[in-house]
Amino acid sequence: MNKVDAMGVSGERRKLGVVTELRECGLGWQGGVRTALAFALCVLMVNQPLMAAGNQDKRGPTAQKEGGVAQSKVEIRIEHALNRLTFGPRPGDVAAVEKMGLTEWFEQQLNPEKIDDSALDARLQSQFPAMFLSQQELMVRYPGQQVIRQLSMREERGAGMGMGPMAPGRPGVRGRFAQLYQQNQLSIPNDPAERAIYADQIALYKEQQQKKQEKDAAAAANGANTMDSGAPSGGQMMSDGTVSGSASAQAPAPIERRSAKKDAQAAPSQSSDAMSGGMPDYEAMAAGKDMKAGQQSAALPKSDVSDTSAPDAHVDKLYRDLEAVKILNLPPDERMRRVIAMPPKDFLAFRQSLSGPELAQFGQGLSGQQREIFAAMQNSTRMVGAEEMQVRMLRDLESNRQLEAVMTDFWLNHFNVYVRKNQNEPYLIPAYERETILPHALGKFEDLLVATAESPAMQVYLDNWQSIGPNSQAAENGGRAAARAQNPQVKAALKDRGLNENYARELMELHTLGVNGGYTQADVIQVAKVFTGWGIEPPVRGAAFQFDERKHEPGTKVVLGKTIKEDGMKEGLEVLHMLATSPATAKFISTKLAVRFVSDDPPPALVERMTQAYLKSDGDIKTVLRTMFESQEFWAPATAHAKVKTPEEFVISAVRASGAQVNNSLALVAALDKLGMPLYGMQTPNGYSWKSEGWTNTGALVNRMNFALVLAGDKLPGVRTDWTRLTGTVTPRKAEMANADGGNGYIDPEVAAKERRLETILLDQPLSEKTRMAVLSQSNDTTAAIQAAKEFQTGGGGLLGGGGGQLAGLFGGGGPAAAAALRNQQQDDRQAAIMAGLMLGSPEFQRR
Amino acid sequence: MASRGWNSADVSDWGCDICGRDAERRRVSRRVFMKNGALALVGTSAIPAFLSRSVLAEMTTAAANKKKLVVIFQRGAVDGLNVVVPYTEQNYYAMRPTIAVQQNEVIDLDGHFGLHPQIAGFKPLFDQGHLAIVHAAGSPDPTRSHFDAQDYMESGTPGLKSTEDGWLNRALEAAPEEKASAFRAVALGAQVPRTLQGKMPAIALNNLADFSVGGRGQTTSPISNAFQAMYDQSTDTVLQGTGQETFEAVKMLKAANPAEYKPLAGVEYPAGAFGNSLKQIAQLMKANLGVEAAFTDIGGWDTHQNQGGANGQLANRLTEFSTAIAAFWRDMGDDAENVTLVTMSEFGRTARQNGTGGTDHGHANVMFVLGGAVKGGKVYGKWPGVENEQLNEGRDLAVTTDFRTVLGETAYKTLGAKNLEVVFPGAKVRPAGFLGLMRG
Repeated sequence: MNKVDAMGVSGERRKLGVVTELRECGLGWQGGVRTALAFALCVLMVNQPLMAAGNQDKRGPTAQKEGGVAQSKVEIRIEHALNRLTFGPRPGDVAAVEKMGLTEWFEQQLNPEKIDDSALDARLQSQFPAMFLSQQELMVRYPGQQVIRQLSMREERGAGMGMGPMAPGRPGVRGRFAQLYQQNQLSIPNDPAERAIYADQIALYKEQQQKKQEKDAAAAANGANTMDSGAPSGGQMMSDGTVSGSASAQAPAPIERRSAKKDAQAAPSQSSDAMSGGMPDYEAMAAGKDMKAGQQSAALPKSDVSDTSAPDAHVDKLYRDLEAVKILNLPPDERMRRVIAMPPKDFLAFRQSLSGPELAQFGQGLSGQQREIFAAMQNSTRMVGAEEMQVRMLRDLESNRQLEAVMTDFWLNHFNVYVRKNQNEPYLIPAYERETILPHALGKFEDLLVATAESPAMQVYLDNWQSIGPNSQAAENGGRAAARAQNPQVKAALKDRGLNENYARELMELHTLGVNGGYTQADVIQVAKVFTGWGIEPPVRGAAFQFDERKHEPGTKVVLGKTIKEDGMKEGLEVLHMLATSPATAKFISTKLAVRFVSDDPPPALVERMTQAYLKSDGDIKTVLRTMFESQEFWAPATAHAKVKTPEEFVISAVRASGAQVNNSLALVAALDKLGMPLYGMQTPNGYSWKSEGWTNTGALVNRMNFALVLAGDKLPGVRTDWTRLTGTVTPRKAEMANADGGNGYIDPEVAAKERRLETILLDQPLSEKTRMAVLSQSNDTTAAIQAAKEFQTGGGGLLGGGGGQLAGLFGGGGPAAAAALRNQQQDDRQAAIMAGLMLGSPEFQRR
Repeated sequence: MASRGWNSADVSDWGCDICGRDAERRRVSRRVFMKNGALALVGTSAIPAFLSRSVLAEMTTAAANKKKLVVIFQRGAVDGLNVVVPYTEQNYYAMRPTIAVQQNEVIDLDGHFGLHPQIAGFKPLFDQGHLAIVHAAGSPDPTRSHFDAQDYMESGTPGLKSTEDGWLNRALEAAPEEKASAFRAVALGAQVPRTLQGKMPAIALNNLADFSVGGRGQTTSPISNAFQAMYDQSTDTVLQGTGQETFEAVKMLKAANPAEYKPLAGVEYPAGAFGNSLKQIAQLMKANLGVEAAFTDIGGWDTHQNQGGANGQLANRLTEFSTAIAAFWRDMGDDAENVTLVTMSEFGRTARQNGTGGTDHGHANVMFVLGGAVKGGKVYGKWPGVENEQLNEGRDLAVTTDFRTVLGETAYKTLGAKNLEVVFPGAKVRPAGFLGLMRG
């Protein structure tokens, strides 16, 4: 029967899902019981806001959670503090803070260097060694698409130094590249692994280019008005092409390959026939693997996919698949050695032949660096992008220095950068997080401001690295070069280089003064002049920050009425000092902090006190936070649960609350994509909103509920929940027992006890009785998480492109299939899982 | 199907009038409210949004029409001077030595303006009279902040930050609908945009196929019903209201199954989020879910550096932009005559190119209006010129048409939002001042 219709015709029927469900099970409440209970519930609910608000004065020494769990005033305060100052309490956190004392805990959090975080550090360093390389080393070891493109063009032209036709609009770049080659600053490394990373990506790039050319040719033949898909036109040193662009081009045809592999396994003799059919030996190929690998593999029989005849392709596949299985069974080091030794073409085929579980199998036992190399051989940029997000997610989830993590997140949002700005930005973000933001997260605002101004990530994101003083030496040189240039476009490009206002404007509007902070368009132009010369070294040389005097606009500038004498880079520092110490900045920052930590519309008196604290302490962030922590407003009843969690806060707090073991955070990174708040994914420099509006809408709620079910149901790849461990001694009961209420509203006491235990673990306020009833009524629905997993597929989209799931497999969690393969233990307490899923998706859990 | 949403389904009485939070969902209380003249309160902030909504739904009598308004926001400030190019102006070329679209590259419209070659797909629509162009349109507010300017455009109140709702939401309010569908206003994206925030319910969704809790199927899953029970009964007014909208929308979507509406033969949306959004808007509209206003946006227009001319960054964005819109138009088939689509962007860009082969934040811009009732084939608006002395503050195209005049006409003639004072308070947008972009 259609439930909607049933509700429409039956006057007695509530649309309320719980009751409908109970009735459909023949377990509906009888009238009298229902009315009486309903009244009681109403009374309870009227009281609830008071209780939830933690109004200690009216509550006496201890408050009784409805679930029967005693909660002291202290506990309520601690939960509030943990909700606001951390990414949410984990099981046991409240007790730990209580033992230590709340004030002591807060002071310790303000001084993160005093908190041991070595376990996390060790884990991150062993799992993601690339994230701890210097920026230059990262760019050299794991070259981005720009380098790959350059090298592959060079290779196509042979080993000579001829740099080919000059690309319009990019004067000098090729020339510089040629120079770098000569200086050996950009060359194919000799280390076999590093070499493979270059060679395989170049091969992949060529394959993609060829496919694209074929497609374009076909389209041209059809006379269709195809879109220019933004091919690297050579016109952009900093291409606007996105990382996912190359990711999507890589999608293999896994089904076909996998079935072919089954054939191979089923008919080994046939395969060995294929083996003996003249295919070259891997070892032999490995020996010859160098930068000519492209040509060499092109010389291999039947290796050119595009014109391979069908039977040959079949033989090829059989061979590869059998070989793939062999490789998977090798010990880790040998496995890697074989893969590194493969010619690029074979590597690509091998990689694409792996199914999710096979990929996970391949990843087993590999060191962090080996995994990185394997991923980088296909797409270094994607590997780097995926790792920086995993690191950020893991830190937020697991750092003991939670306030530092929260503040790092806050400043990363305040000083927003966008990972897809261009193909270099992903390489600049690890240092941005590690060296620019995190060390200053609880320090002086001015230090942080200067660090961001000098960071390559910000220089590139807001275009300042390209800004040139109109009267600078660089502009003059450009003018002279323009006069000499033959190509009119090059001529004009050189002649018209000059200011870019982007950074100057956002520096004042978004980083410091705020939009009404009293600056004008004239100030924007003056500040832009001040910051000319601030920039980066060429990306191919590592993109470190540099001040280039030749680009700096000479002369005196006037900013906000103050005269800035000509003084090179110091002008910028003087302006940053002015901005950092401005009362407008103090207020702007204090307001933003109060919105993050207190309420969407924070009390003006509190903001004013924080502003004063900022000004008196020279912009000391610790002092501002302490002022807030010690304020009466922070602890006021109206403040409790006043904040709706952002998707990021929701996801992280849910994982923390459930005590999940996160082997791989990629699925959580992907979940944030899906919930509309991808890490490093805000394109515009204002960052994400800390206010509830915008995050509370229909689509978002649907996604949150599905995420909650998927997480609690242990269906999130790489994230293990274990409710049996958490709920302890309460034994799961058979489903039919759970709801054997005999029509009297009776709920199995053990189920009820488990529900309460979960409530205590997951929530810091009691559920309303209705919510609790809804939870209990569903405790025997064990398919929901599986269904929700279908709704909440996180494989596609985002930076990771279609490759997210594949990378996940490699990093030890896996896509859905890989996860299944890796999971050694089935979720045994589905009853608890479904109840927990409902709680994490409940209105109560959406607040902090 | 019988569902008319929660206000008809909920006929129970919990016997507990002190629970004010669900009072509006009980008929008795609603009648009391109406007797006391609740309508008079509509529009004040004194009553919760969901309450005024239900009262409106009950009381209003405006006939349903089949007209639909699609609003597209180009976030980041598109460079209008390179989109619809004043190709006869010498100074345009003088100011843009490397990024101008050359005379032999533009697609001529009227002997003065020409389309960027990458939006050639608009030319047939223009020739057929479906597409009108308004040049030098924009906001009277001088801000060059993306976020303020977007905020002002979306709220429809330039210079006024305290406005809480968006102009399109108010346009729906000004065009009351007796049986407002949960899908009356939809935004494709993760969030309800400022444009659609307000008293009238609006749905945000990313992907039609995912819009279901704990299972797809034709009916809602038990777990979804359990969640619904939680949210229905929540004392959390923000989440409770959103929850109600959510679950009603989920049910409607399951019943209508818009996924079965594939694009018409031969229609191909470009890959990417924007094409996907327009495709799904078409699906929702074809599924007769009662969509009247749809919103989506497309970013990537903030071309401070290396924006290119006939080819390059901006050109690539324009390709995606125009092919998606053209595909949508064709996909709507016969129903396209009931559709009006309007595009906007927070401001234009500097008339002169900057020092990095791009353009900085400017002022006036170009808007497109596409629709069955549009009197197209014409570039509307007074052209201010791009001689140095004609530029706003000596650097940007000057605004000669207030963007609200354009939006007001489309809302008036498409949605029937006759009370433009509600839509654009204080703007004095009047039918007499319309540009005459549309019939009706």
